[in-house]
Amino acid sequence: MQAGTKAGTKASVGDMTVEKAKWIYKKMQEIRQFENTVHGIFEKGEIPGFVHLYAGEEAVAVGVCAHLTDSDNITSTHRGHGHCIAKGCDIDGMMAEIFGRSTGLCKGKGGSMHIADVGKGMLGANGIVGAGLPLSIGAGLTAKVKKTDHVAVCFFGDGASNHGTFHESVNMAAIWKLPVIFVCENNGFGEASPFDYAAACDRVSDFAKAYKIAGETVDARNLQDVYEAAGKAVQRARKGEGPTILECLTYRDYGHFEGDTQTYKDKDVQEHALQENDPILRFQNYAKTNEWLSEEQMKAIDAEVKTEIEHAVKFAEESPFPEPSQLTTDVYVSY
Amino acid sequence: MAKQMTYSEAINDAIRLAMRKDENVILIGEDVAGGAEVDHLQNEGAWGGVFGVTKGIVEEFGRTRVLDTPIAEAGYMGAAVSAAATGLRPISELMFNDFIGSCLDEVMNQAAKFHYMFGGKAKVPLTIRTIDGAGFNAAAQHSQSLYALFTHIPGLKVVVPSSPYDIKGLLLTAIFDDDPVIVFEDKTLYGMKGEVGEGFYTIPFGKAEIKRAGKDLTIVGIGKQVYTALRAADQLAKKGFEAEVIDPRTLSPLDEDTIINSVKKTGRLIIVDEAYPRCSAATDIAAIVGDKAFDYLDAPIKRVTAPHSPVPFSPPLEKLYMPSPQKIIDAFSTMVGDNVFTTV
Amino acid sequence: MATEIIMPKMGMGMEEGTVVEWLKHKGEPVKKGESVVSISSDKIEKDLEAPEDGVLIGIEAEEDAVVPIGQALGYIGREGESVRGDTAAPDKEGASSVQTIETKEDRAAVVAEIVGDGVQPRLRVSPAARKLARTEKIDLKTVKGTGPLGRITKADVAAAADEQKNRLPVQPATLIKEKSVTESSAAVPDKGTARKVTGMRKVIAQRMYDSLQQTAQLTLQTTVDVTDLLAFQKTAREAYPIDDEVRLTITDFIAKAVINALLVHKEMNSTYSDNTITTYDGVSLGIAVALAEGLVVPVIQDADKKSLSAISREIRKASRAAREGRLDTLQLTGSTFSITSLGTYGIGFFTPVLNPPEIGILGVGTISEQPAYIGADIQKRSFLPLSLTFDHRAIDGAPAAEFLAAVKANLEAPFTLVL
Repeated sequence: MQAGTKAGTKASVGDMTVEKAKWIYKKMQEIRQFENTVHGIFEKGEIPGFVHLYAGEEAVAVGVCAHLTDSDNITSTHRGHGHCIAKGCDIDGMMAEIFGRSTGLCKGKGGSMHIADVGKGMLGANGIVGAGLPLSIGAGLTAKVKKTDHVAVCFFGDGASNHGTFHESVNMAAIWKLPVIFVCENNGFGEASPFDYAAACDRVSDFAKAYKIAGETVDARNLQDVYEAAGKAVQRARKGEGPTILECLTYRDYGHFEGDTQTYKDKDVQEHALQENDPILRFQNYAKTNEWLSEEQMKAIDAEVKTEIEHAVKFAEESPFPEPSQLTTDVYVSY
Repeated sequence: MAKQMTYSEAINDAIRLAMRKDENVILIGEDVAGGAEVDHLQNEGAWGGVFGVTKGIVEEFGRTRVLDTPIAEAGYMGAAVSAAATGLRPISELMFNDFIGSCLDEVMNQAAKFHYMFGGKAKVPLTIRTIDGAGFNAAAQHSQSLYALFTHIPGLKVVVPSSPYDIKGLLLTAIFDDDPVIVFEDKTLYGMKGEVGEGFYTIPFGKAEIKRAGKDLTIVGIGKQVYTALRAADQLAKKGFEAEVIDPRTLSPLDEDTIINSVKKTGRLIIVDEAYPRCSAATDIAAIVGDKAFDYLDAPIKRVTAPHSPVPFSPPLEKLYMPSPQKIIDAFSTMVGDNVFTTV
Repeated sequence: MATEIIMPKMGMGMEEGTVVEWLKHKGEPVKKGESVVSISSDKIEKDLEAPEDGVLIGIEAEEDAVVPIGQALGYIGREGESVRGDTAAPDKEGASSVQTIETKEDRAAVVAEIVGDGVQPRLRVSPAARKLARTEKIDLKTVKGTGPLGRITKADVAAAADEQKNRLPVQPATLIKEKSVTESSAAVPDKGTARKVTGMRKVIAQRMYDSLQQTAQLTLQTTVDVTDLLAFQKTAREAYPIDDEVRLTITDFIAKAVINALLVHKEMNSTYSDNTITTYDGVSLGIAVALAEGLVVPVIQDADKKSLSAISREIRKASRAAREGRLDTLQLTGSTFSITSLGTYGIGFFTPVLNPPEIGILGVGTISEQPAYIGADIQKRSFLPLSLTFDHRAIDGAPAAEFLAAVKANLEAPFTLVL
């Protein structure tokens, strides 16, 4: 991942408005602060199970979901907190879920890897690599059969691009012209193995040519690049022009999972990512340059988000664990 | 009004009725229509599945709702799962249950888990139709009976219909059930004729059928093995022993009460299952009865199953592989300690 | 009706036995108690006796045949009587001729015969039969099983229940009355003090109960003339200064006599567990010590390598440690034979209970003076009663008796104990 430094220099600013920019900035901040907070609490041992943090990849989820409504569906990965927030999931409910509390979005039965909110079109974070790809085909199929203009977005990692389900799904979306956008979050590593090692292709978007669909690779530390490319892909899908592979080059600020020693990372790249190549910093500069958001406005948003996240933690901590009677409820809708 | 129909025709009838009743019902799978986009074929005369079970359905409902998929089980099964989660009622055909190896994740980790894992907020009204059963000389990769694999997984319902009447009613229940259901169609039953009710009817899950009443022995026959059990019961009757034969019809949920009440009456239980014996439906039922009806047992519970080996190809070997009335009678004779049956 | 001779269960783990030899041939008359057939399990060999007078009318299992327990080996009946079970293809009724022991008395005789030989038959009962027996109050030991391997089925119990109901009506009425009296007296306890069985009492309770339930123990008794031993003890005590550690009690001499006998009769120096008999070269001797809380058995390890005085010292130390509660686990385990004494309570013979997995325990009684013939003379002599309990699963009567005789001989020639 070698992101460009084109912040604020884009000639075209698309359909970006002040309102949209404000929403985007707030969502990115929510994700960042949410993940940093979870990181700190996890270190203290107060969060059970596995946690995979999204910090650093905010521009992907937010840049894509900025074009979606609650009727559009997304599928996610085990690194799903960012997708949830960008798709509008309740932050209190998310935090409570991660804490395993009964007030969580999944009543404490899913946890970090399985946060879902079907009402918001969030079809669930998924503990299985590559599982979201066929699921996005189903959502696209529903839209096609029901003749709606809803789209399905599949967020998946570069690791999943080597999985059979990627090829089965892209092929099916292509032959059936389904309204699906395959958003590959290429953060450079599948767990600890570099993309360059694990994948024979140069770019995941190269497969678009083979499947005869649209494909593009963007610098996804740069919000507006993602925003613009996703906008075009979503539009194509809504118009029934078929799927797109949108490869987003990004970087994972934390490890694969919490507790990862990250010995496989290059220190210079990491340093660069956390400093001048930080997607939030770059969007701040962009927003200021375009005079959409002032320094003060952004500081106010930062503070507002801080309060939100603190509230979420308090809400989670004060929520009860699920009752023992919940152990075997909801196994079946009816039995 | 009832009419004579084959098992295969009963399935076709059920699918048509469901698709007429609810436009969210779609049929998806490999060649479920057959010959998609072949210019000279159109819809008339298309396959309708490798066994022709769904023949003609595409003519009535068109290729949007009867969807041929690439040979990509993980892809289309996953698509069916989330099509169900997002508002459709897909009937997804897994051509042979043996192919589950290619898409187990979609069934086991996705379909079966959504409702629970997402706190009851998602539902997956998916019906998987699949073909099982030995006796067709189809060898080890096309003859298995893998229903125990799915019965093991909470969140899935498992149906093993043995007659044309049952498959129609149970399939319609499956399609309009809000949970993922897997229906096992025994390939050797497709040609079987029987009385089938006309029009739309459902058979509730978890209700076993007593095929034959008796007081001396309970035989539970799974899927087509209910007929092996009935033949054994006829022979036992000639020797003065009346066997009660039970068809569980669904393995998940399982009608434990009917089986246990029968064993309370007879004191003896044989389970006939052509699946592998280890961790099987037969073993599961034996454990349940041993647990809940221990004080009523007058003899050890016996399981008449396939051996713990893959299904062989060679016809004589496959015949040997299957449960038979004689094997049931042999099991019974060891239970009552009488060698009078060994010469039957 | 013909009476069958069945393959008996002769040990916990026994599933089947082998016919070694028919001692009578078919058609030969037999008398009750006469050996008819010789059989073996993997542990023991024994002769089966005719349960009644008659003729050996049928042989089901030829020599070398391996037969599951409970199955018929042959039949005894009247001359000319045929065995239905002996025909090639028995019908259903034929199979029920397994019910050959017609009366409770006969059954009891057979059971007694087996038990008398130290073998407990295990009843095979189906769960349903067991439940019915509980509700119908049928003693399963009185029911003959007709199922595979003699398993008692629900039908067998139902038949027994019918039979019980058909007896004279006064009988069950009396029974019920007696029972209700017993129950009511048990239900309203007297002013006795109830105490929960815990701690050492509980351990003893369990061990003693298990011992009597799970072994085949019986007791042999003998009387030892210890007149010379008492004189020898007196001399020895004078020769050996009595200190706090060594007193050379009669128990010490008995211990030494037992150790020496065990070294000769090693089969008694054994343990029985998990269907395995382990015989030891060295002797670890358990000495039962009565405490207020109950009984403990400290062990003199490697007793065969120790002199009389060393043994005396250890017994005293161990007894004291036991009374002061200072024994550790090692000192309480690993014994290969035990001695228990009720001598100080004026008890003569008694039946000591085995300390499993040991297969032998010697009970020491009170020495008493009695007149005895020495040649033609009547003399005042001192006699010590000894009671040897042994596990018949592991050792038969004759070798056990030989061992006891050796102990007796050692004590009657006391100088051998210090050689």
